[in-house]
Amino acid sequence: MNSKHEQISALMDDQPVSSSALDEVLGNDDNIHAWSRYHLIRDALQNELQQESITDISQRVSLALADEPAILAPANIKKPRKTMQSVVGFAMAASVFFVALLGWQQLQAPAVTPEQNAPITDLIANETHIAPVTKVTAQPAIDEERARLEDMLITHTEAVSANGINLMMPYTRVVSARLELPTGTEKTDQPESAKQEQAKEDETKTENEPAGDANNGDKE
Amino acid sequence: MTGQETDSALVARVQRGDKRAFDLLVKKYQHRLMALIGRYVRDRAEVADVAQEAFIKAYRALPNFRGDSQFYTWLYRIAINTAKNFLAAQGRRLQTIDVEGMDAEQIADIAGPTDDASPERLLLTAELKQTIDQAMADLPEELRTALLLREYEGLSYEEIAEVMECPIGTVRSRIFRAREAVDKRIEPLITR
Repeated sequence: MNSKHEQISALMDDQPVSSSALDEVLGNDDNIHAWSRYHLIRDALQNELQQESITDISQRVSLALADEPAILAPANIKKPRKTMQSVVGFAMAASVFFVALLGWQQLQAPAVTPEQNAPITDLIANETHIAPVTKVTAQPAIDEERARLEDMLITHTEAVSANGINLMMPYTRVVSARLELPTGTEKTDQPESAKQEQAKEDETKTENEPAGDANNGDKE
Repeated sequence: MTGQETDSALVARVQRGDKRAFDLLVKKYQHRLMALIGRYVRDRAEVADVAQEAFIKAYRALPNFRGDSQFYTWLYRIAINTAKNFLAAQGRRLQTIDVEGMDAEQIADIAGPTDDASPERLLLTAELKQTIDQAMADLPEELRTALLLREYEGLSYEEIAEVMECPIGTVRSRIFRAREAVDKRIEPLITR
């Protein structure tokens, strides 16, 4: 009894065989003939053998392929698993959402009017109730603060990116901070009468509210 | 039943440049492929030509075979397309006989003998079938049962072990011994 042929029998049925079983079949003509006959028996038992199919065309095919270059295909590329696909899909969707959100925020931000772009002296001339001194001093202070904050955020973003951390949120914060910061013109455009009213309200509030520190002092 | 894992291993070898592995695939599927093509092409000599062409096409297409489907279904598809193209090129109409449910003899009767079927080949086919049938009948019962359950019923080794109430190793041994016994009877016919 030929143990190599037993390996062939097992190979036909996808049974576990030694890792070298295929090499042994391929490396020996006797084994290749046995492989061929075993399959002939199988086909005959399964009624797959017909008069025309008894012909052995393997030699013809082999000769026809003799001049063909050997295949050197890349290893089978496995499709990415479904979980990976969903993660990638979610990441892409999230990115698109963030981009859309930022775009929407920019659209919602108040448009810069020609009036706002105009030199500050022009604004002063147009608004009779505004004290020019307030405008001149407030704008540089806010700009300075905004620049300082932006620098801080950008430095932070760069540090984060250097460490390989997700960059989307830091950049989002930078842009959001820009949008949320009040512009100098908005602040200074407040009419003087409104400021006076606000000051009066504050004074009234202070008078009506009991002083916390004083109360505490009483208790003590 | 079809040895899909073995097919995958052979395909992987062919894709790495091993032509001998493709020869094993040809030897394994040639009879089935010719039987399939014989349902489209009546001329027996042409069946062999079309089968050869189908195998060559398969070889050339193997670099693109990614294993999404089983190798034999992929190969059968190529064979059917090759047969249809062959008929179209010949300007013939496709046979529309429904061969599903027919056994090999019925299909052979429909096809009928042609001039290309040499008497020697017809004799060999008949003799081969008769020899295999006789060899099966002569087998000890446990060997015959194991091989029949495997080849006729398509049971796995585990299922055969359950049916025959024996270990899987015994099933493996019985199936091999049965094949070996039949092989000894047909070997003189094939090699002569």
